[in-house]
Amino acid sequence: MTTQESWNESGEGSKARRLGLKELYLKEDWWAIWLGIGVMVLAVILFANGSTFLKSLAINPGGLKWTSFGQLADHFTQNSGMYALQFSAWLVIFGATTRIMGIKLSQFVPAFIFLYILSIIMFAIAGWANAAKFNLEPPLVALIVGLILANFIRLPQWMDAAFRVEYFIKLGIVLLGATFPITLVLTAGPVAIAQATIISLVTCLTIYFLGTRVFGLDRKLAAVLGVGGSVCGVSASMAIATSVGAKKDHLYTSVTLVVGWALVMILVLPFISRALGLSAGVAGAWIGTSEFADAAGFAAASAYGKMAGNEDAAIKAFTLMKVIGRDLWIGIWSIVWALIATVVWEKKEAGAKLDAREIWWRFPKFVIGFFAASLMMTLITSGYSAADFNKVVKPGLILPLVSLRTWAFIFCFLSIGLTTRFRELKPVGWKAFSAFTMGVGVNVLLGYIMSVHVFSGFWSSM
Amino acid sequence: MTRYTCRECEFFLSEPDRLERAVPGLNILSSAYGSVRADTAICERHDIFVTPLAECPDFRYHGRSGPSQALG
Repeated sequence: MTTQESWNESGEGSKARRLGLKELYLKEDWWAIWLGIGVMVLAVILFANGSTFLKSLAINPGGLKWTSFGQLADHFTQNSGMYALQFSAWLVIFGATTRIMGIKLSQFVPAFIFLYILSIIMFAIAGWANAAKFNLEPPLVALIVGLILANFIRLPQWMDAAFRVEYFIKLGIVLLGATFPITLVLTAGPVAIAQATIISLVTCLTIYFLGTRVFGLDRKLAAVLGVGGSVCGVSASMAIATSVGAKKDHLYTSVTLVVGWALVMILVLPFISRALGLSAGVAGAWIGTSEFADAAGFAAASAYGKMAGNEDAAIKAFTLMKVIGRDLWIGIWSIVWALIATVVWEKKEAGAKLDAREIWWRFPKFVIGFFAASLMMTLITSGYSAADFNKVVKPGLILPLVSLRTWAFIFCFLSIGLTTRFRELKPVGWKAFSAFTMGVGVNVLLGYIMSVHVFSGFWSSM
Repeated sequence: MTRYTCRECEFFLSEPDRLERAVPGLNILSSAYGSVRADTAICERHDIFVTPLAECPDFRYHGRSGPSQALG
């Protein structure tokens, strides 16, 4: 009897699988919620008391439109105190929370100082008056600079301690909720879910059946690749790897393919969208169905939004499609694949015992923060007229939160590049590459048809 | 009779920092610190993904804590 055949999971005591309350301080999803909601509540209190402190703390040079280094230097000289305070705030917040999650401060602090300085440089580039003329969109510049540093300068691996891509993007998404009307979530959510579900199902099945029937891949590998290319990249692959009892190498293959194609699409989709003349909302929806990972998708959507002059619409359409249309359902995908492994495949191949609570255990909890922030801010600002909102609330409350969100996104986009060391990625066989790549093709094409033709009117009105 | 599960096994790798080192590139567009991972871990003996309550004949006690449950 092989070990694989004898694998078993005891049914009793499955409660013990849960982290319980420890999850509230050991998972970055919850920290993203505590920080995002905390910042939002602080912003509301300061706004209500007429304080401009948060506005000052959210400073960045991205909107300067400088034309000489002298102007840039003057900006930093005049605001050095605010930058020092802002840096200290980020360092304490991220340092303390990552320490609680188990990351060493001795590694985090120097790496974060490096990340913050790089972020300032990215904002400064974005603030150059001619940046748009040369396509120096901050997400793309941050990604490329990060890739160059990680692969040519070869930063030490311990610096990854501060390059927390997922933590930063989750915080950014919760802060995004504060500027996202709950009414939009409720009205557009069902359309996003319908479109995303159709595309995810078709793509997942394409990769799985091409992988198993045409290329003869191990069905566990095909399943891991299928969800990686259709639901939520490596995170979904990891969830399903447990459901079907996949090998470590299977996930490693998924990492290489997901990262490779995600990077290609960050760099290509914004320019194709521009060449096709897509509206920011339509392109955001298309990117939302095409990109596998939240961080990569936000980079592409944000870059195109800036190119099109309507970043808000691109990011909102992307968020609806990716976060609400796809991320929410990882737990269900996990259950379905566990069911397939148990019922359709031979029972001995099942990785984990079927348990409906898996849906909650694997739920991307940061989305709760997004919904909570959206609901709270909608209620708080509902008493203002449209004119007062634009004159008072927007500059005093909303824009500082947008700036802080942009900081989180820049940390994230830089971290994608800084953690991508091509030499460490596993070489992938042509069969896995072919199955996954064909799935990506179907995903992109179907996403384009549905975003640009079927639901065009809906997304272009974002 | 005492029932030991993977959680008490020395081959059970569940700490997020070690998981991220075990699968290079995992932290680029994902994270071992996220909710979606839940309790997913790696069996270093067989290089497969497991949960804490799995069992197998190659179990080797890590010697740090008691069993998940004792069946009388």
